[in-house]
Amino acid sequence: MKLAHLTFWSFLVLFSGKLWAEEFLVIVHPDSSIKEADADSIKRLYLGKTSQLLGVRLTPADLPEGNSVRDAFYEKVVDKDASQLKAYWAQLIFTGGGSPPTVQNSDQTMVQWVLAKQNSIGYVSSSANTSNVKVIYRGSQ
Amino acid sequence: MVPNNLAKNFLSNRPLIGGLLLLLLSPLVSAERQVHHNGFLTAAFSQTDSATSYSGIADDINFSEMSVIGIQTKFQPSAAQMHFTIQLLARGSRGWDVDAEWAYVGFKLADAYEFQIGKIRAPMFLVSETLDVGITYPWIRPPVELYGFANIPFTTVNGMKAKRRFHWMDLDLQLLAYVGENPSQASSLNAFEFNLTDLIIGGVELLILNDKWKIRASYHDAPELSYDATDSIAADPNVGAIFSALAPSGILSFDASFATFGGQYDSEHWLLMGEVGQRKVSASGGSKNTNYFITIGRKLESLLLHVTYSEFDTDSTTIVQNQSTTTIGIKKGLNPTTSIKAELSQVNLQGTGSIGLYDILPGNAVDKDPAHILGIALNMVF
Repeated sequence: MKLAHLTFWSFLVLFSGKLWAEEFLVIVHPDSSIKEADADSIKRLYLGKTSQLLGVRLTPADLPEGNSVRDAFYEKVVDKDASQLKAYWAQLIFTGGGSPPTVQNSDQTMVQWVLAKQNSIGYVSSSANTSNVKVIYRGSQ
Repeated sequence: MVPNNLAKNFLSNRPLIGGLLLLLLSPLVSAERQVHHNGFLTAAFSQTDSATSYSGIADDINFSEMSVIGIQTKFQPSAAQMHFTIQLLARGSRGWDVDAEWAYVGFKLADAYEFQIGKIRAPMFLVSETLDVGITYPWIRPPVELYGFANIPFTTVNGMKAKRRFHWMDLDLQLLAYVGENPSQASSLNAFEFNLTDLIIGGVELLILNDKWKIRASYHDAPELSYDATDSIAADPNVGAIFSALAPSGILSFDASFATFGGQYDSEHWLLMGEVGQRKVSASGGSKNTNYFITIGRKLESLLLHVTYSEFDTDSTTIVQNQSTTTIGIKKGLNPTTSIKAELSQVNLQGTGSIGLYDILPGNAVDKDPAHILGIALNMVF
């Protein structure tokens, strides 16, 4: 019986992928006129196809490469994995078409950066303290 | 050697230096100004089993023909929509001399309009914009039938581009118009060495894309285009004999047009690419080239297996270059910034007297037909 349980849980771990969903929040400055946004509009901003979200000019920021919240954000909102994203920006950078978002090292620095810069947008994990900023989108992978 | 070339390139781009100084001294420049440095490289070796050199590739191992390194700096005052971009490039095929491949001032007006003035990439092809950034395409180098200098003997122009972008449904549309000139650029065609002494060109491009699809059409017209082959004629009487009917003095002037249509489908599992270009030269002895390639790729995680068929078809009787190439290749992504590639090509000459894209003069025989080319490359961006 123990062996059956062990086998069951082993298979679950091996083949289920992630056992829990990575949740993230997209945040803007508390004084921003934006109340909520859809994934497609956020995607266009983060891919450099526009510099505006719902008519408001915004500067986006990323969490560092390899961060699980960053991966969840890009897979859910932008529909690109890390490799596809690198190839996408390589094309844009070397065609003069734009530069990727600046990087904030943690949830905490992301929140501080958004608070300090009125026309900014970022994303953080759902466990981050976002009481001082405005959440405009909630997502999970 | 490198500093001399850098100085020469900068001196030949004085208006651009002026633009950079203007940006640096601009009141818009604040402590938040942004400078981005990026780079890319391709380290490749190649070899053919033919004793006749093929588009720079010989029967001994060659580490330079397809190798390239580039560094790009973009300076942007944070409050301004203007930026200055310079891309320095060193190609193994040109003795690693450093050249300013791009040097332009760019300006964005809202999201919809963008302008570039300076030394800019000529938007001739589907992958023109990333021609030297090997990691962005499946091959070690784009098919030479379409992308080689035998078809279009330049990659950049001094001029300006204007882009207009539209967003409609889930599609992005981009309309681009450009004009430019490109005086005095050394180039080669088969075994000819010549200078592109005079070029005035303009064109339009329409690009429609979404997350997976890209469709592109372009038209280019060059009312003035002159080659100076006097040095080659002086060095080799055989070249003079070939040119005697077209341009006894060695200077060949004509007007030309070029049209392309291409597309790409890039999904999680498949990569499909295809492009056709037609070049018309209107002069005595003028010609029409219709060149194309088609690529089918299958993705297996970080591995891409691909097959490409490309063809060069010309009605010229002065230099018959008709040929086709079939290439099978593998691209393996080691990480998001690095990939390795291996490919094997077979080149078949087509038609009587064809010398294809081999580095020989008309009237000479190619050593081996079909010939094979092996290439291995490392691509990086940083």
